[in-house]
Order: sequence, then C-alpha cells, then structure tokens
Amino acid sequence: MIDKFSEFLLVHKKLLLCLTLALTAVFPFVFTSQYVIRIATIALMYVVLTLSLNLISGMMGQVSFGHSAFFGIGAYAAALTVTRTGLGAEVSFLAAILLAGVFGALLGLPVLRLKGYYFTIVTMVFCEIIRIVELNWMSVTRGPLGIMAIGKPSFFGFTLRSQTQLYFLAVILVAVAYLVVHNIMNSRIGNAIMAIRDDELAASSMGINVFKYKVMVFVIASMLAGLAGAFYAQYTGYIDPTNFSSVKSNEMLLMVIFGGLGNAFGSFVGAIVLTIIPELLRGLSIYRQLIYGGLLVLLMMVRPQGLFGSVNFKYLGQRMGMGAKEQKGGETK
Amino acid sequence: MALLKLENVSVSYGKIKALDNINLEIGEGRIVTLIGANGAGKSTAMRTVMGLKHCDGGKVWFDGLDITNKDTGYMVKQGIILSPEGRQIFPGFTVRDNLFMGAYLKTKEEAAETIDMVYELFPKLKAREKQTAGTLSGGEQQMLALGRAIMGRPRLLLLDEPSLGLAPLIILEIFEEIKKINEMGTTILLVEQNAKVALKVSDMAYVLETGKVVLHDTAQALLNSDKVQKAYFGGFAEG
Repeated sequence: MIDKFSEFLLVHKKLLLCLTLALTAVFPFVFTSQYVIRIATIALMYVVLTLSLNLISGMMGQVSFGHSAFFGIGAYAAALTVTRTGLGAEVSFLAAILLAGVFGALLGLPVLRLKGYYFTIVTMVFCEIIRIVELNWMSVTRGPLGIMAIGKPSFFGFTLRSQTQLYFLAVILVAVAYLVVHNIMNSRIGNAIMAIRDDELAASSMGINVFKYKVMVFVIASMLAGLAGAFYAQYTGYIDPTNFSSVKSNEMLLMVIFGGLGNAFGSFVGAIVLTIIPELLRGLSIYRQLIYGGLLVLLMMVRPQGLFGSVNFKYLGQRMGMGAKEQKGGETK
Repeated sequence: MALLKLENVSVSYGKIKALDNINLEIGEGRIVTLIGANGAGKSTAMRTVMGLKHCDGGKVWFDGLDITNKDTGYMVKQGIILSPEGRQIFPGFTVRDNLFMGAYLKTKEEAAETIDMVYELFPKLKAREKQTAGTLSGGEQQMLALGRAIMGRPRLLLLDEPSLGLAPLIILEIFEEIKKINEMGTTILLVEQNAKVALKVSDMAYVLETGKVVLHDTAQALLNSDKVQKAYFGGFAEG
C-alpha cells in the first residue's frame, strides 16, 4: 500500500508540492485558532529536528539518543544572547547554530570512531551531561528556574509578535533545513555517507575518507538542531533543562523511525503525525499515553522499517522512468 | 621490476603479531596468490598494502614509490584497489550506483567510460543495472564487487576471498573473469582459501603460516608439491 502511495506521490509530485505549499501558506488564515497554529508551529519545529536527526540516524546509520542536547545548546545560546546582550534574533540564531556546531564537533571527533551501540550509549550520556550542566550552572543558565522572558524574535529591528508571523518563521526554517538535507542526500557526499552506512570497509577501500564525512554530517545535523533550539527559545519565551532531557531525544528518534530511516519525506510525516496525535488524544486524558503507546507498537508490528523506510524515491523514480520509456518504445513500433 | 614489494613488513594487533617480517614481490601483469590457514595473516597483508592497517616495521613499495603507511585514499589514487572479503557491496544502492561508487575518486567522464567496459565484461550486471544490489544472487554480488573494483581503474587489484560462500560452478566462472581482468593488464594479488582453484590461475604463490612466509614458488610447483597438497587442498576441493 505504501509502495502504491509512494508511486502516486512521485507521479503527481509537482501538483502535490504546489498544493502543499499553498496549504501551508493559507493554513494560519483558515485555522485562526491560536491553539491550532501553535501546534502547527511546534510540528514544523520538530520537522527541522527530525530532518537533521535523520541525517545521523538514517543516512549515516548511527542511532543517536543525544539530539536534544544540541537542541538545548542552541536554545540556551539564543536565550542568553537575547537576554544578556539584547542583540537581535539574527545574532541569536547565528550564535545557536555555531555553538551547536562546535559541540557537535567536540562530541563527534572522538565519538564517531565508535560504532553501533557504543556510539548510541555515548550520545545518550552526552545528552544527560548537557542537561546536568544546564541544571547546575546557576550563574549562566539559572538552573531549574530556567531563563524567562526571552523576547520574541526580532530580525533587524522587526519583531515577530503574532502566532501567524512565528508560524511563517518556522516554515522558513523548515525550508532551510530541507534544502540542506536534500542537497546533502543527493550529493557526492550523501552517496559517500550512505556507502559508509551500508559498508564501512568497502567505502574506505573506494578511497572515501570515512571519518571526515561522518564528522561533517554530524556537525551539520547538530547545527540544524541548534537552529531549532534557537527558534524554540524565542517562540516559547521560557526554557528550562527539562525541555532538553533524553525524553526529547527519544521523541525525535521516534519521529525519524516512524517516518522511515533515511527518507526525508518520512521525516515530515513522522514529525507532523507524532506531534498531532498526542494533541488529538488529549480528550482521553489518562488513557492518552496508553493509546499513543499502543499505536506505536502497532506500527512497529505492521511496518518495523517505518512508514517510508523502505522507499527510495530516487530509485523508484528511475524505475518508473524506465517503465515509461519502454512503453513509449512499444508505441512507436 | 616488481610492481608491489613488501620488505620486512611487520604488523601487529596489540601484542599479537599478525605479520612477522614478510617479504613479498609481485611482478607487473602477474597473478599472485597468498594461501594459508585462517589467521595466517593473508587479509592483514592486504589491509596493510591498502593502508587500512599500519605496519610497525618494514617498507611497502609500489612501482618504486614508498607507500608505507599512507592513507587509503592515496593508495586508491595510485591505482591500488581492494575488493574486500565477503562481497562487501552496498545493498541499498542500485547496481549502477554501486559501480559508480567504485570510481569515487575519478571524474564522471572517466567513470562513464569505464562502466561500459565493466558491462562488457559482466553482461549480467548491465541487465540488472537498476536493481538494488541487495536483491542480487551471491554470484552476481561477487561480480558486482569485481566490477566495482575495476571501476577504480586498478593497476594492482587486491582480491580478498572472491570465492567465499559461492557454489563450485560459480567459483569457476568468477575465476574465469579474474583471468580476463588480468589479461587486460591488471596485476592481481589474490587471497584464497580455495587454494587449488586459485593456484590454477596464478603465476606465483606465497604460503603464509602464523604471519611468516614459509614457502614461495611458482604456482605450478606448489600445485604439485606434496606438502601444500596435504596442508591446504584437503579432500573436498576437487575442483
């Protein structure tokens, strides 16, 4: 069913893309409820996080439980820039991206030499270390009190105040993240990374510098998570260490796996669906988590590779293109 | 002059010596086989030549150039290509993309030229061009691994156990292809458990035992040697 659906997506790619863009554009004007726009905005932020984590876990095949650490580093960097220096959002976003990138390199350089479970465990621990630092470095992060009254993002003097404006900022961030991830996935670097995932020894015997590419992708993914963090801090106006615990990392990983490892489209689906479902189930109060958990178990039983995990749109397109050509050939004969 | 020369090379994993003062020479255009039991150091020798494992002592010469402990990318640029043990193809890539990965350090034009040559050598790969490699049979995967190695335009091709896990008939087919590749001017260093088949196509062979070269001679002489027959052919390798 998913395969048929994927083919449908590919055939009507342009039309669906235009439709989605149009829907995205009119969405906040159709659904004027602040609550709905807020959920949409948060979903978009998760799309950025999921896309970037998909680079590490899907493309590179290294399961990371530490993505919310970079999300948190970005959030704190942005929050501190805004509250302490009073500089604009453009500076805070830049600071968040850079600091998350630096930490990405600091973690990646020693840790990306590890493989499989070892890498996963270290990222888990890293996430916890960052949270504990955030919790205890009172003079900078104010510990459990968190940082309050972070102003709404203000770019070059223009402040985005309304939910709708912030929603469109999130849309722009998603576009940026998608372009970065899409371009990496379809480049020589992307091929190298996926070759490393499939077989590291074979990849290095082709002359691919395995370690260099791994660090590169890890740093880029960290920077994107930092970007999402900067948005989060200025969107909610308040952050504290509980927002960046390993529970958040799990959520992100869940979204990646739900949508399908290594598939950018899947990341959109995973992030959006898994942000909306818990909200829809809110009316069921105490049974909410139970049903949510049940749904995930069901997915893992029916489709363990995630919704689009086994779909490779590039190859699907090539195969369908080939089919079309053969048909044409038949007609001319 | 020898194309590849190992001079007193020693390699160790921790305290265990995998290679102990190895001397080895491969003449240009030859097929040379390393035979030996598991753990004799055959694969280690290949990894060392490829720069995947650094040596503690000795020198590796390639075409008169000192390549000791250079990185793998450098070796690939010099024209040394390894086809690793166990048909390490990229299962998620199509056959075509697998082949192009083999030419990762080449330009697109060079790769496009070479791929035609590979398809000529392995018509089966051409037929399966757009299939993902994971769906190929074992023999086809080995052909793909060979084809991918050729995409790097090797001067020296290192083949690690090309017969691993293949049916006897397919093994013969693969060795036919190896001979063809050699006739096209590629020097080949072969590591093989299936000593009899390997010796039949080889010019020279080295016998390794616990990291030392214990015997080296022409392949024909080793095929006829009682000692080698007893130790490495066994009863089952009647191929």
